[in-house]
Amino acid sequence: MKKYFYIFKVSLIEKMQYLSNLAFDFIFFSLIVFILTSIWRYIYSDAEIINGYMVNQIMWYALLAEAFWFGSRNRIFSEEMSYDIKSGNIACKINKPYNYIFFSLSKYLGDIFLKLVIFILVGIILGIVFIGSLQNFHIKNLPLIALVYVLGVIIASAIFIIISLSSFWLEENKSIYWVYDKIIIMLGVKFPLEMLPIQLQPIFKFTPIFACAYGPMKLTVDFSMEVFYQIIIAQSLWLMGSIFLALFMYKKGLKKINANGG
Amino acid sequence: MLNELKKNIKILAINLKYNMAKEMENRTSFVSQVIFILLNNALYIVQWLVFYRLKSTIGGYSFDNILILWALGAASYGISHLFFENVYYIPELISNGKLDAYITQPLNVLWNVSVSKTKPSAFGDLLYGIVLAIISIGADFQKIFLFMLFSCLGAIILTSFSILASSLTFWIKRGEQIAHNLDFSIRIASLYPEGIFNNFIKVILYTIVPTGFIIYLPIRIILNFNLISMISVILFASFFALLAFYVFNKGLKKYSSSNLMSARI
Repeated sequence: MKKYFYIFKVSLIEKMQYLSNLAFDFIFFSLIVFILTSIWRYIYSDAEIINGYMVNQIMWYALLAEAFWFGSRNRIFSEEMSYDIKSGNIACKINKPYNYIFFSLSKYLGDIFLKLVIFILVGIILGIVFIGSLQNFHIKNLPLIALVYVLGVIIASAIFIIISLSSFWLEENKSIYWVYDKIIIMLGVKFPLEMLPIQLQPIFKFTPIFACAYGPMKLTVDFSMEVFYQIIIAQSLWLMGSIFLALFMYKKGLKKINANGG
Repeated sequence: MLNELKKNIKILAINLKYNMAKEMENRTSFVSQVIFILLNNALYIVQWLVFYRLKSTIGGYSFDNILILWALGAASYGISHLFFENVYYIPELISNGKLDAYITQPLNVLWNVSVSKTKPSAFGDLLYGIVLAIISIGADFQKIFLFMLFSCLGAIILTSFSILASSLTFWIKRGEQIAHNLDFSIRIASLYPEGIFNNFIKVILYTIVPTGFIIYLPIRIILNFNLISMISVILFASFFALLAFYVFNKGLKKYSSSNLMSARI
């Protein structure tokens, strides 16, 4: 465990060297926030509550979901890991005294940690400016909400690892990232599940959207212990399932490696 | 003048032919990229289906109007990236001193740079735009013709905008990030109806980030034909293209080579 924490720390320190690059990401993020708040304001122009959400809650939901999803993106899974597998570079990493899956996870978490924290902080500032303070939010709920956020990031990473590991079998898997990323954004980031047709809502409770995107945001804007238990159970199952599948795929995939010498 | 135009169109055709042949070498990869881009774009419609369940018109647009907005956006983007993909790499070419290979050839530098790369998935965007236009407009030939015209004009404005943004790199250090953010901005703004924005933003959308001339005005013309508005879009696209050529050539005088040895394959 200590070695994975060390990998996390090294990745975090490395990222701190390029912190100023984030400034440009915020321009884009601010624009998205502005457009999202504009559209929700328009939809709520003649309604106070829609499907249980007030305009203040829905805008905060969309803003924090964007911050969470954009803040936790990087190239480690979408490019580096797949490249390692396709190019054969992985051969130099599997003989090290660590598990490649946990190595990649620690490196990814270190890489995004600071970015995610800053994105959420900037998101909160933009929210206060564009929307006003979040109604019905109690600071005492923060530790439980933070726990759900952390688990959400780890599950999202584990699913990205699974997609990256598909490189053992597929030559072109970048398209799977696009589609998976878009599904999460369209069905979990832009609006909460309650906005979908009522017949579809129970189905989505069994998808990663519930564990990675909807869960953390729902608890932030409308906390209840009942919802917390539902989300934490779903997250535990997704966490175990996705890590198990990633390890299984890795074990199977290693048998397919044909590394070139040199 | 006419000979010059003929020559440049020939260069475009030759580049497109060889770039596509290169991409088609791995046919499975090409087809899968096109299919996934179609799926990727189709997912955005889900978002609008949900929004329109909550409100019947958004920013003055009905659901059918949103489909035209998406069709125009996707087709313009598709044409621009299919024919002029390398425009979107100009900031890196400038900052890494990789323009040398283009400058030394007896061709117009900007045209030569712009047409030397293609993006295979852009074919999926173009196809998506056409299919969506047929679904939303129907078999109205005048409207389909206008859609095709505005898709081409939109691609010219989009490409010219990117050249202008990229040219900043001639004068500003780390201009790449500013250029890429400006490209993102115009794409993002073109995905939403103009009625949701306040007047100040609308002014920006018809000037600095000209989404108004790529999407909003063309939609109005397709739905209710107006000759003067159509001419204004044509004039704006021509002006923007000339401005892009002028600014790029001005900037090119500031360009300094890095003596980088590289090969164009």
